[in-house]
Amino acid sequence: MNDIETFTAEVRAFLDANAQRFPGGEAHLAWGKGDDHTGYFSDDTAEVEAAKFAAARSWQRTRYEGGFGWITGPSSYGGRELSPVHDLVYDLLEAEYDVPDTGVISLIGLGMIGPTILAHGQQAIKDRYLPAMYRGDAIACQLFSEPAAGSDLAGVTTKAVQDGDVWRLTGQKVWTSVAHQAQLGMALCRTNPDVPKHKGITAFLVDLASPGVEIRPLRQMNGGAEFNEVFLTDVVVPDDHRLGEIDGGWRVALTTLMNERASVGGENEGALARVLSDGFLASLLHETGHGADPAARRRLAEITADLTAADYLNRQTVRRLVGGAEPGPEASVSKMMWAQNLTRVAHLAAELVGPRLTADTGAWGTYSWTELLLGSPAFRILGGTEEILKNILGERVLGLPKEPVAP
Amino acid sequence: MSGLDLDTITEVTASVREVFAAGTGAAVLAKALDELGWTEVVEADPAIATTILFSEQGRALASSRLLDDVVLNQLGSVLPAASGSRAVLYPRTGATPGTVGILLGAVEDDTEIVSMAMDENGNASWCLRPASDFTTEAITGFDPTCGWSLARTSTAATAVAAAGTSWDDARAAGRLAITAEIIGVCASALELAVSHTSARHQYGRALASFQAVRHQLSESHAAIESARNTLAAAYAASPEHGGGAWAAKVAKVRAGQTQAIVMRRGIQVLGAMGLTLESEMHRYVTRAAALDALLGGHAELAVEIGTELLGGAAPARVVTI
Ligand SMILES: Cc1cc2nc3c(=O)[nH]c(=O)nc-3n(C[C@H](O)[C@H](O)[C@H](O)COP(=O)(O)OP(=O)(O)OC[C@H]3O[C@@H](n4cnc5c(N)ncnc54)[C@H](O)[C@@H]3O)c2cc1C
Repeated sequence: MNDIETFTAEVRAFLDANAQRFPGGEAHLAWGKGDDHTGYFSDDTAEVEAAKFAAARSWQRTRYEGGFGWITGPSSYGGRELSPVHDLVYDLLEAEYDVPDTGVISLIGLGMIGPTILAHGQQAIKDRYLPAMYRGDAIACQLFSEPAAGSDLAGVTTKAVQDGDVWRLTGQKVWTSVAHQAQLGMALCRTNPDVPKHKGITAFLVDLASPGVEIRPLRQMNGGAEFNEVFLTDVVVPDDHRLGEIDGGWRVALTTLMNERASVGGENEGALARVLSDGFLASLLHETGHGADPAARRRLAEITADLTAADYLNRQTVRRLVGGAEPGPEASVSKMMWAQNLTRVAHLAAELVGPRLTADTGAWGTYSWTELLLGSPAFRILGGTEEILKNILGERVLGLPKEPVAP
Repeated sequence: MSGLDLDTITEVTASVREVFAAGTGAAVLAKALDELGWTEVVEADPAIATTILFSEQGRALASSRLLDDVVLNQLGSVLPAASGSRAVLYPRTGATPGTVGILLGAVEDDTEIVSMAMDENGNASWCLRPASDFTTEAITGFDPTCGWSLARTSTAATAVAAAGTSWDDARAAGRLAITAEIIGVCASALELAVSHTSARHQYGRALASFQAVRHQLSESHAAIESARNTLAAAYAASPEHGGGAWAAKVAKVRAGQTQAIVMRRGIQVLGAMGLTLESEMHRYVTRAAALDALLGGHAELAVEIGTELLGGAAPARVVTI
């Protein structure tokens, strides 16, 4: 048995012991089964949301204790020091089991911020927070965007001023996913206003329970309230919570962003796994009376081809990472395809479901597409807008001359 | 040629805009239009009057039962004279016509609901029933401010008149008015996108100075202009029949496509800000989609048009040289 086979057997044994396997292949994804959510963003009530977070944390703890909490992480933090391929194998196997969706803690906290802390954090901080995060005890959010710094992230103006062996942070962050459920935030702050903007940023890990942190929910048009405004007023952060060098925060942020583009493109857990599955989409055609409609069939086929291509691209990327490559600008292709595929599915569904989409008549799989339709515009904006990704591809992959920018 | 000159049109448009800006409510609206001398405007040029009225309703994201008047206007000679107020029950694709449908606003218990029913042979007829025969449920999920409701009845109704071509005429007139309303919603959404991207700076420049952004705005504008012209052409096609069923269908398809383009682009250029309820953008998106679905969504109507063309229908010639 090679290493992957051994690993597979080990994962199976763990999952069998701790979770219920779905009966028969993709049956649980079938049309008419269970709730008909199509959304990526939740529009749950506070209680339901709290229960989901609790379930996600508890399952992460089970994983961690079983040795699968941080498959690629160092063993000193409970990791297994295995490759991204092992990680992928684990995900594929776990998808066959009925386990809580952990996207809310894993996508940003464990997928982006954990690796950043590992790469740039000071020893005491790594020792203190990494095990807590991967055990599911601490959720981390990304305090990057500000009202005036969205695409132009290096324009952040939240100020951090050194005061002895602490820093004082003041400013406003916005669109911060999961902040209302998080214990930690990774904040990009302006530490030097007198140098080119990329050179005056410092990154910090902020304990969100600190005095001066205020988190207010922002409601999205799909009804979800899972992103927030975060106000920082003279928040004290010890210097050992600084990530990377003083004024070296941009390099730190790039580590996070590379992991973001890599992980966002591959994030199809929960309701999305269903709406992107071939069988479910075929049912959508049949159930809406479009089974024999050549135009609908053609679009289904196109979507299927695109999904297959995106899936393959993601796996290739993982393979390259295993070969020691750094995540690069090509991750932008993956994220763009992900957003485009979801958008296409949303639009196909909107057309097939037709007017039943705009008024809830209680019929399974009709009005529920509203969630995806109204949620899908976010896919082309979060984690770098489509235009920015295209600029990155143009300049960094195709080598096109840069667009002129104001000095 | 229009019976109204350009100055009058501009003036009337501005007044109607003020009326909607002041907030609607059926009584207020009727009174304000009355004061404007609306009847004369309609007499002078019914097509332009309807276009102005509904575009402005769309622009203001207002809701009313004005569309009922447009539809009922086509049925004057078909339905028995009304003893009181009437409202139209709009069919929903996939639902049995006449027993389930959409009401565009509040009705009184004794309001007569006009609905179209279809027998098993596909013969359409008009039915009248008091509103008290229906149970209604506000449509709140998708577009919470539309003021529409889903109405259902289990009471059988006797047909009062065969629909004949009056259904086509009524639907065509309704579709043209909805087209105008969608255009208004789109124009307003584009204005929001233009002002947001002109005011917001990233990388030291206004967003609207990036070609990727301005092209999206220009595409939206082109789509709106195309819809506007299709609408005007539809009205010109056959004035005596409210624009003609065929041309009205084409106009509605164009408007539906336009809103898809304008809303998608509009949301994209607003970034995350446009996704939150703090921005007005979501209201344009949902209203435009709801209007698109009313009296036939664009995807569905496009299929109908294609089928009719293949069946030998001759597209109405709108310009004769
Ligand atoms: C659901 C969701 C979750 C999010 N979660 C987080 C989070 O957890 N933490 C966090 O920090 N942020 C988060 N964000 C914010 C996200 O990173 C920003 O929305 C994104 O970077 C874009 O910034 P913006 O919204 O300010 O758009 P803007 O930068 O204002 O862009 C507006 C439009 O202009 C275009 N544009 C801007 N610059 C250029 C250019 N140079 N060339 C061409 N076009 C350009 C954009 O493509 C876009 O179409 C989230 C956003 C969403 C939608």
